[in-house]
Amino acid sequence: MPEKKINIEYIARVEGESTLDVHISKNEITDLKLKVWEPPRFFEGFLVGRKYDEISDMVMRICGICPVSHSTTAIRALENAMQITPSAQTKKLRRLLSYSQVMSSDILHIYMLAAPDFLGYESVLAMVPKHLDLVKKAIKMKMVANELTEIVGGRAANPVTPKINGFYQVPSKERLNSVKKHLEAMQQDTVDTLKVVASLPIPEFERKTEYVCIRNPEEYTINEGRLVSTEGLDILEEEYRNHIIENQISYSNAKQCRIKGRGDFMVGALARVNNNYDLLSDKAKEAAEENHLKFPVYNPFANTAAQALEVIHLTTRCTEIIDEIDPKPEDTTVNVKAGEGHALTEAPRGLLYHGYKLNEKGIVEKAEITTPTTHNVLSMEQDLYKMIPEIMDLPEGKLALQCEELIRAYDPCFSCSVHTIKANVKKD
Amino acid sequence: MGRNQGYTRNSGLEVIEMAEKKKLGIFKLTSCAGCQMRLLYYQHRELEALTAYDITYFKMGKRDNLENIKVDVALIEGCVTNSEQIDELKRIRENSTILATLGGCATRSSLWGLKNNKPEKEIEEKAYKDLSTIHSIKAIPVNDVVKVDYLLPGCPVGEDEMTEFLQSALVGRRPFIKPHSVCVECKMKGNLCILVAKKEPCMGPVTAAGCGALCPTNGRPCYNCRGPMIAANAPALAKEFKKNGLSDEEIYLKFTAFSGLSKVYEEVTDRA
Repeated sequence: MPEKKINIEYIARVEGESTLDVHISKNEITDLKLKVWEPPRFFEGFLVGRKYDEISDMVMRICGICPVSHSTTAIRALENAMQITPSAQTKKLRRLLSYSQVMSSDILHIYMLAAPDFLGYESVLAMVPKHLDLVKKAIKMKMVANELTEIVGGRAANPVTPKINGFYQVPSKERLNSVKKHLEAMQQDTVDTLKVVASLPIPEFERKTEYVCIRNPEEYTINEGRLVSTEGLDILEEEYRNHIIENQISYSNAKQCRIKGRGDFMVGALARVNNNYDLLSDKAKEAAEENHLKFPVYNPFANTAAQALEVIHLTTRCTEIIDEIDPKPEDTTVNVKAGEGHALTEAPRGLLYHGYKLNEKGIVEKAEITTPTTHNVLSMEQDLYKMIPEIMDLPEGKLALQCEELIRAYDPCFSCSVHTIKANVKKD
Repeated sequence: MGRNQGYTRNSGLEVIEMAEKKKLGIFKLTSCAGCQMRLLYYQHRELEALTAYDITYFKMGKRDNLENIKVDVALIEGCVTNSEQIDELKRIRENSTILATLGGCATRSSLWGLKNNKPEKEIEEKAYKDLSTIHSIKAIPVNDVVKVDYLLPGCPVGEDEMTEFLQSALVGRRPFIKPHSVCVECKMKGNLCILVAKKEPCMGPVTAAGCGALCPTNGRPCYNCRGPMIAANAPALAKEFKKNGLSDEEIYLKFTAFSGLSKVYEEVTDRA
């Protein structure tokens, strides 16, 4: 019986650094480890002793792709700690900011990180000569999403306007209307994107795990809601720590999470669509039906299609929110109070948790952060345990590539979880 | 690829053909990947400048990456926080003609430098229960380990400054890196000075320019994300803050947030 060893030294086109080691002997997996070796940065350590109004700017630097998520989650957790309820305008502007970042990140993953896999290229730049129109379309859509982030946030990367209890400066209706035109013009492109993604062949693979995300019966939510799952979890955000357990593992700098009494779970666009399909816009549902996509789906490779689907919804939703608001400066004074607060949001890659304890001067005494990829690492390993035996006959190189593609489908972000993947598959 | 192949200039997708392209490697140490991420926006002139290079190494952007080959330009994102990275950095230096830092982490260790202000174990224990498998040293900026040709500040490095660097390295001229403070850009925008008029604790006077005075333009004081400008007068600004009612502790926090291992503010931040 042949032995195989899959060794992916670094998994490319993902954010951050990781290695996959798989050892196969007599057609059985004898060892499988997803090692995240992105160096630890100790946010939970150095945030202690810092002041409440610095935290949002600092935690944005956890991740270059989802600064808005870290900022919003931290701000909401700190507001919960100081019992501050932001205005309706602030909540709407935060939605615009968060939706724009999910759109931007989904488009980035679909075209710049995942599409080269499905089309057989090593990078999006390598696709330019043969797929120029597609690349142009991708860049155009991404620019519109970034433009919206910039108008509301002041800067597309690491926004500067969000603060506790509001915004340092609110965008003018005029600027919002200008980006609204661009959003409307891009709607057909979002529908075409789903068509392209749905037409790409994905590996036949299924593993039914638990899909976890937040849900708000009124809106396909990103910022606020109860934590729900396809297996009946339904809890308040402050109950998170009682249900999700985080464990440190010896071979990786990322921790692993499981649901108490059950096991691994998946977060991200697929989990959102599996739980909240009913809340998507009619246009998005129509597009899903046209492309024969029926949710729930238990194939992690379908995560990319779920991303394309939510981009259709979010594009429409952003234009609606812009119509609903005419932002005016508001009083954003913060009354500092001691307390403890928690918040859950949907980062582009899935569930994100922040929790803080403040003293009466507003100085952080304790900080806890659990990122989407930390939530997903165990599920990735479990998928690999199931998938590899099903494709055992493939030569080592192809086997390793499909493992790498599976991990990339999750759209992981390993600098968040501590950060590129390489798969090492060895058959002895 | 043929010359230009009909790509239009306004889309930013112009493929520049040259006899032999210069090789560009983009490497990552400890960082948030935000500067690399910003490169993946592929916008406008920046994309044009990027396609003028043969990118041999960019793990976040491509699958085929060439290790240990000579490159004309190396961009380093992130700072050193473990010993393997020191070796890696030395290898990259040996293999590159021009080496530049990409952003604040590489330039001065930025936020990660906060770990240096407290005992290592105290910080590490708060993030991990079992420290036996965690290998981390203090956060060291790139120019403390190897010779650096150009320091590009920014959190992240903006499009204009990135394009300026890529174009200048391409033709072999010295890039223009703004030597002045954020105040100069703020004045050029015609903003009302929030430090003087509103007594808000703005770090603009001691912060390296390049963002276009982003924060004051968006109604808030600069929080020093780009780090110190060279020859900043930190004590003078600290005095002004004190006059405006900030406590010593609040002043310390302002000057330490993003300055990392830089010595420019040490008269204010040195507590020994």
